[in-house]
Amino acid sequence: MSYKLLDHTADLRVKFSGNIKKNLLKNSAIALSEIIFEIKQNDVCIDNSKKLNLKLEEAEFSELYIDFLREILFRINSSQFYFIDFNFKKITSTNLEAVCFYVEQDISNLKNEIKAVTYNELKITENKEGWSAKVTFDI
Amino acid sequence: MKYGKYEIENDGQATWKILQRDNMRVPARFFALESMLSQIYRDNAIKQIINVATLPGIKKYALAMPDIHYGYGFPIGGVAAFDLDEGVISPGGVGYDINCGVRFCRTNLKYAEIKSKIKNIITRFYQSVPSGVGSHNAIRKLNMKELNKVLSEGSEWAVNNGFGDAADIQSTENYGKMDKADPAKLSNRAKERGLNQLGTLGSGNHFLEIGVIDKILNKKVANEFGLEEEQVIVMVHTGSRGLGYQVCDDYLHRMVKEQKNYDFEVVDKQLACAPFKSNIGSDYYQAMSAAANYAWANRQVIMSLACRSLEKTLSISPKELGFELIYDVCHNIAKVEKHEIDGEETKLCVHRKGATRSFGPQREELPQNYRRTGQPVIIPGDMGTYSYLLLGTKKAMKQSFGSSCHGAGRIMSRRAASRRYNFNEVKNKLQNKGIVTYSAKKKTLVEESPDTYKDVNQVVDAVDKAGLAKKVVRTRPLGVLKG
Repeated sequence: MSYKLLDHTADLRVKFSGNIKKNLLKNSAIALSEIIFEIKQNDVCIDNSKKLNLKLEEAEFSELYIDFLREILFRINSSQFYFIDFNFKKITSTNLEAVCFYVEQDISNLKNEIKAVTYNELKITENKEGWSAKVTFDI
Repeated sequence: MKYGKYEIENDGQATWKILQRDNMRVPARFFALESMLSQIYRDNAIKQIINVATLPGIKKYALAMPDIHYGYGFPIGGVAAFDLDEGVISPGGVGYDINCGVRFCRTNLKYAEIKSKIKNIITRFYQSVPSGVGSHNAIRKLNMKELNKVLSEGSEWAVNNGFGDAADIQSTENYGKMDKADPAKLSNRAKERGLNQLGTLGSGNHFLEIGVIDKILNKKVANEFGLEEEQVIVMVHTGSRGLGYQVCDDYLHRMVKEQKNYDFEVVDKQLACAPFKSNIGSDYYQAMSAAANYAWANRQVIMSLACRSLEKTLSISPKELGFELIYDVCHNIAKVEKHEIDGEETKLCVHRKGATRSFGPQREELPQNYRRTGQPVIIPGDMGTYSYLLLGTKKAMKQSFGSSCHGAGRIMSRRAASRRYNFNEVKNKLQNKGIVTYSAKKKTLVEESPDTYKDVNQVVDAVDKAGLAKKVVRTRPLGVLKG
């Protein structure tokens, strides 16, 4: 599993990971879909997948990462997109271009509410095992 | 006493002061009984009050109420007031659920009259008021023109569209409307999310509850409010739903980007803020005000749906039911208010995040009846114990910018609750106390288990001892619809 739920008194804290930067992003988006819909990625029917182009620019990678999660969360909450895969055309510390593949879920499949991604105590680290990020979500 | 390197000293009844040091611009102050301190320290929320004390233009103290717990940026239970010229406005100081709040309504019913019908009432509530994640379509979907009216008019829109009556507006904080609201300051994303969510509870700790007054704690005021023992009451707790979350998210993102343009730094990005009088600061205030209006309209619609549900379930007339809003208070908001600073009345931007306004007598913002007594302050506990109605005080105006706490305050994470309890256990425990519960999701009931909250009696005692608000009545729940 590429994510781990951590304890937080009032909100939700999650540790996401990936062996390389783009997999940290991809795994984080898929994990958010899994957490909110309570459906494992392997159990999602991907026959009618659609794609969405995403282009983001921020001052530094931590902000770019949060902005990416914000975009993903907005589409999950407002349009019930379940993200299944990503093709990153460009990732730098400040820019990201990706094609995001998703399948639409029925609104009744929303199981957990995540209101927003916060910057609170965000920790992104890179070590010999790869990349990880600890993020707090308002729920 | 020490918290890390910070000196904490007793500063009056149930009042504690964290002395100013390092980059703090003012001292911090929090309210709690001594017996609550270890729990508060463990949670690390104190650090978040200290962080708030570093923000530009903050006046007198960074404050926290007795239900303080760890949040993001500001702690939950945090209050801070900023100078309008030199100070800031911070979306993180309001929170994502803008104008999340609670209302307290009386009825003519006595407990004995409905004792055998609680289950039917809660079932009817569930059918009338959509609850849970993504809940929608309580009323028909609004078009953009109608939504803009909701955002401008707040409770008034709901009343004009058949939900409740004009007297409700008098009994709502700010009369259910922030005048500075400007729908043009909301993104299309925020508006889209608001089109079909009016009249819905949402999830988490939001609720619609029927309860009974089980103890009168101030007979004179209870009489004035038309409250007596064994009387049935209704409470609604919810906010601005996805629209409010999006407003906060949009502006927080913009302020993080613009932070580098200001001559101050924030110690936590979640505290991103802008000068109150800057373009973005002003835009946020107008957008937040519009979201606050949406929340008031939301609670007004839900209350009206609950009132109709009671009439139908019990087959009684509106006159027999005697449903009346006592008051509606905000928990998450920033407002321009006049407070005394160095002996002079000064306009400040007061942020309350998980805190309730607690204005004492003679404040011009209050309607005539409450201007005499002070405003009602509603403190809901967890769904298994008590809730309280209190009265705002003059002392609160001096001690806390006229603020009190907003609930019991969480002490256990939702994950820990899920590990420790199971659905049947929680449901049966509540049932044994005679409390009927209904939740859109079983998991919500477990996560909101009574043991995950502080003891509301202690929290209210702290508020009362510190003089932030005075007890009027205590209620206990009979039936609760959770999100």
